[in-house]
Amino acid sequence: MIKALVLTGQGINSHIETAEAFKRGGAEAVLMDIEDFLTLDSLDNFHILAFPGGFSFGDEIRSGKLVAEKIKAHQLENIQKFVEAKKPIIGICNGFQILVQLGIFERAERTITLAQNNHGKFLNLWVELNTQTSNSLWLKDLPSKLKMPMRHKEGRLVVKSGKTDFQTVLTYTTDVNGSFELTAGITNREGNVLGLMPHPEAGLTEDLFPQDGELSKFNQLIFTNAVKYCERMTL
Amino acid sequence: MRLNIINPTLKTGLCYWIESENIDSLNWETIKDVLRDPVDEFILFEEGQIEDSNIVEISFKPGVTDNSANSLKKVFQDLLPGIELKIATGKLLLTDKDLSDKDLLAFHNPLIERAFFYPSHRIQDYIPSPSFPEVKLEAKPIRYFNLEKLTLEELQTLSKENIWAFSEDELLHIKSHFTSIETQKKRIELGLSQEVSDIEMEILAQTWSEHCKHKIFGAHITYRETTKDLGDFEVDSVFKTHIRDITDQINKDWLISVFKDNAGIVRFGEKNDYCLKVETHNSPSALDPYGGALTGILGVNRDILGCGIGAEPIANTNVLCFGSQKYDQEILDQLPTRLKKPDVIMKGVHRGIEDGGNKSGIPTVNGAMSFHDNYAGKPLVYCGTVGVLPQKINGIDTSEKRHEPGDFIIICGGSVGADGIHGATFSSMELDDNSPATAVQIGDPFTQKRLTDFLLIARDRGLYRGITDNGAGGLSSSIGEMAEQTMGAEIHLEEVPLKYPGLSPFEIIISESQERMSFAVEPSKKEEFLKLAQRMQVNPAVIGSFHNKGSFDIYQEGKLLASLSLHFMHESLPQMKLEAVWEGVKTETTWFKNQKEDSFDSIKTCLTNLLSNENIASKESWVRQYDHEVKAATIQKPFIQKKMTSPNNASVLKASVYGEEDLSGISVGCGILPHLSHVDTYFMTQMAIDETIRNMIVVGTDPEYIALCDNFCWPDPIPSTQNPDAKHKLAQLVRSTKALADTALAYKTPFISGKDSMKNDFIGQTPEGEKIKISVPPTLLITGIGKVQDTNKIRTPDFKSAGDQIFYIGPQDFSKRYKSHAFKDQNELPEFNPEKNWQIHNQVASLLSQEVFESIHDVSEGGLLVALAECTFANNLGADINNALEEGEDPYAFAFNELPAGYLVSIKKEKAHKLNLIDKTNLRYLGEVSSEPEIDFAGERLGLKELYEAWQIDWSQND
Repeated sequence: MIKALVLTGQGINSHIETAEAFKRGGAEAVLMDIEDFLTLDSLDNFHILAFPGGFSFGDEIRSGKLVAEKIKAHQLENIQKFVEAKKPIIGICNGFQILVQLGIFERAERTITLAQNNHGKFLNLWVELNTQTSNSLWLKDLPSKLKMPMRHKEGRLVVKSGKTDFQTVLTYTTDVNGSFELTAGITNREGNVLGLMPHPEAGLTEDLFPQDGELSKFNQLIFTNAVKYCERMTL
Repeated sequence: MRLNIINPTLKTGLCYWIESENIDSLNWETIKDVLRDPVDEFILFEEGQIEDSNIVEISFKPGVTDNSANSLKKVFQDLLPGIELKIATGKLLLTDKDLSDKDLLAFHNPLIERAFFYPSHRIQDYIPSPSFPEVKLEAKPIRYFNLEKLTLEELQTLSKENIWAFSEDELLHIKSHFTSIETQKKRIELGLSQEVSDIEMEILAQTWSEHCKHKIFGAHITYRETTKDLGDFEVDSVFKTHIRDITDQINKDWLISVFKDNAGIVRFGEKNDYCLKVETHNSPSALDPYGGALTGILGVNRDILGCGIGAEPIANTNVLCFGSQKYDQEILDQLPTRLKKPDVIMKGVHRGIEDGGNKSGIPTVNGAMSFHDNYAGKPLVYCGTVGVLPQKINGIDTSEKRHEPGDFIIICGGSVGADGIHGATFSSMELDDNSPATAVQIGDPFTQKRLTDFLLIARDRGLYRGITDNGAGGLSSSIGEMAEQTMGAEIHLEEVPLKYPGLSPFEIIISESQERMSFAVEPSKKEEFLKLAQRMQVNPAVIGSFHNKGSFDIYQEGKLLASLSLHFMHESLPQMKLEAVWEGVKTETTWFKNQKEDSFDSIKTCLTNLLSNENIASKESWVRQYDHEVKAATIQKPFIQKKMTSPNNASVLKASVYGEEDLSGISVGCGILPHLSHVDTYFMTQMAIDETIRNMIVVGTDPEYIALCDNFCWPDPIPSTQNPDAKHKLAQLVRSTKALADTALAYKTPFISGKDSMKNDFIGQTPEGEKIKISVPPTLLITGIGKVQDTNKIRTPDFKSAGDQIFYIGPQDFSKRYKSHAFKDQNELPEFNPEKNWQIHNQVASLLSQEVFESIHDVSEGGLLVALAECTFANNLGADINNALEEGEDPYAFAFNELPAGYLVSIKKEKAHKLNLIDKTNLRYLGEVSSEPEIDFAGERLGLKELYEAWQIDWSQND
């Protein structure tokens, strides 16, 4: 069975629903405290790695930054191997912020960051997203429009130079936070690492939608895609 | 070393004081890399400069919780092992403006923060200015008091100086206890001083504070009235008579634990129980709005964590009461000196609620904001939490604590500091200019989240068997209360983790420093408990043990410092005797002159005025800053977000997320109507309960499964020279609790938990130097938790399709204009018939379960037309109700009366006959939903766009 490692602890708070998304997608979800994760010798037992949303270390200094520094000190090599093996990694909201702070989307030095929204406020709002054409395993067979809630204060993508290693895969249909080219989600060149600010795991079922509940199946599909991809890879 | 990190785009920055004795330059590079983001920040002077900007620097005073520094320390312990770091942080703002010291007050709270201004021409010299904010305290020796010799007057002076808040009777009671031969003999046997120590006095002050002991609710009250409507009567404790006994009488079989634990527990699931608790944090929020509200939320979360054997918080609520945000300069100039402006309080409180919920990963699902001129002296900050508790864990019932003599007392979480000393006694006094800064605290949601993660794992592994939170009164209250179960406890002060040295014994025992839970751990589980706690970094400390000697004992380094009989602490206090006199309505006064009247020249002006009334206007811009759907269970959210936004009623969480295997849900609603209080608190209370029930019924709550929580915030009802109308305020309280009892009985809806805060008065000076007192209006918040049997049957308030028929269900009393938001000057009240109302609620619930309606909304503040407007917004569908009025009816009374048991529904024509179940006198056909974006009523056409814009008021106008 495909095993998804879903991190928790140190202020992460959306791990239950993220684990649920992988379970519904057909995987076994293993919840693990970040402190335990940092001591793992290898990640070979896992097929998928998920960084859920939350407020790791209280969002102090900069969202995602402090967990990223701990990971850099203890687990970076294994994560790099994971990326190179084209295994799926997802970071949602605070998880995306952690991935950005790890520099996982760039090949060399950091060129992107997630900064405070241009209105300076945390905002919990259901948003419509456009899916962009990409090679990403996470976004296979998705329709052009998705709906899910955004819930963040620091989700404005800032890009330092013209040279971008990442692919933009999800964009907001309206400007909700001043993000670079309306960007809501990106992947690395290979498409196996997905980072997004809005929360697909918060809209897996129709009853959670304010309207257009039939779109919930596509939020689930994001997670199912990764499970199916791994099943194909391990065959 | 001092570092300044600048974000030029945001024009903000952070500054750091970092001190260490064993650090090298390589380590400094590591530190810089952690603190600065390479993409959009630079280190001032080293990597970049600021051109043409002034700097405002804001940092904490020594001893104030610095969450950034605490998080950083934890990470650096890992990244730089073996290196001891002292860290403090501050915020920088870049501004073009020249700011005076007075201007700086807009950016910081001088009670807890320091602020400095650097003009641009001096930036080159800028380094974070004040020295490292280090706490330097010297422990004061224990003081002893000779109660034989001290006179009552001297004792009263001591009580005031030490913020003990003892009454005269209490001081005499203490004196007679400690000077009795029996106590003296016992103290000699124990080797204690014959004189009483400050530790003992402080413990008693906390335990007997109004905040902890609820003496007014326990008092014997003689109620007399001149109006002859309730009759004269005596009541032996309004809590027992009007609340607890009523719940016993209603006797629902789903009540698991009421009025004895940190929260009430109900059985609304097959697998889980649910608990509800609401607290207030008013005095701290008046002094530091952000810290006060944040600790309010975290505190009530801990009540849930400490409920039964430990429940998981799954939803927060908050109801906030402020002075108006619309005052012009003329009014603000009359604000008493030292009072914070209402908008400063509101913004701070709001940010505290935001961080408290968001950073804890608990959705903020329900609440309200209420505005009244007399909240300007003291805001009310109600914080509530719903928890989920599995009915059994490892085969053992979870609703009871089971600790025994011999169990260890282990505390986990934060350490103890001087912050939070005297919170309980201080909140039992009126606010004045000299209120103590130590009563202010800043919560640390991150530490508490970690503590929560740990607690739930330890609970499921059965590693402890008793638990409570450390809230008001600190260890003296928490362990003092837990000790009642085993009949004794002892604490060893040297084992209590401290933030810094220099705390006196009594300070350690009463400090309310946050984010701590106390556990009772049986000896065989101690090692495993400690191992897990250490691995999860929650700072465990074994500070003592429970025994059965009948006393609460404090040791330091093996020496007994204090010992109090538990019976004396908890059972001996004589009942207070009070008088209440009701003489009918008294004119409501306020602290400023110049009240403007609303105009009534058309339905349209009246409706737009109401929609932009702060009590009715949309709070969307505030509420969207709260995460209301983390945990993915919130299926009824605060707003209906479609083309435009309509407000929703109660919130609903789906129970399957917590392991239930059906379609059930848990609903949470509230009611608060302080604008009615000065007319009659009896009616106010009936309406607050009815409003709560209504907005829960609307979301499909089964009326058989509703439990309520009462939270009273009253002006002081104890007579004194400063408080001449105390008997009137007490009568208002008794009328309110009597209504609580009568209405709960009629509705067969029990109360399961509650709290009272009885000193909500501010005493200060006007700008002219005159003494002024501002008392809050008597305020009762009702919070409800209910069971929704089938969440698929819920219908939202927004109109769904043109052509649907619109009906008003409820009593049709439009003959007069009654007291309401529209008719402020009326003092007449409509009829409230509990039996009839309850029948209507049940009929509506039954129709809802038959899926008859397309939309359903409750009619509350603002009346029928406001409710109708709210239904139109989401889908931008109008309503034609031109024919709703009957011959000769007053359209204003019809549109704006605020009546009980009122619902507004839309329904498909072919289903309309199903409404025949409802008595004709309680049903009125209003008209149809229309595709035109306007409301047609009484010959006027009211455009939805204009109404929506009126409703979405600009809350930032005071910026």
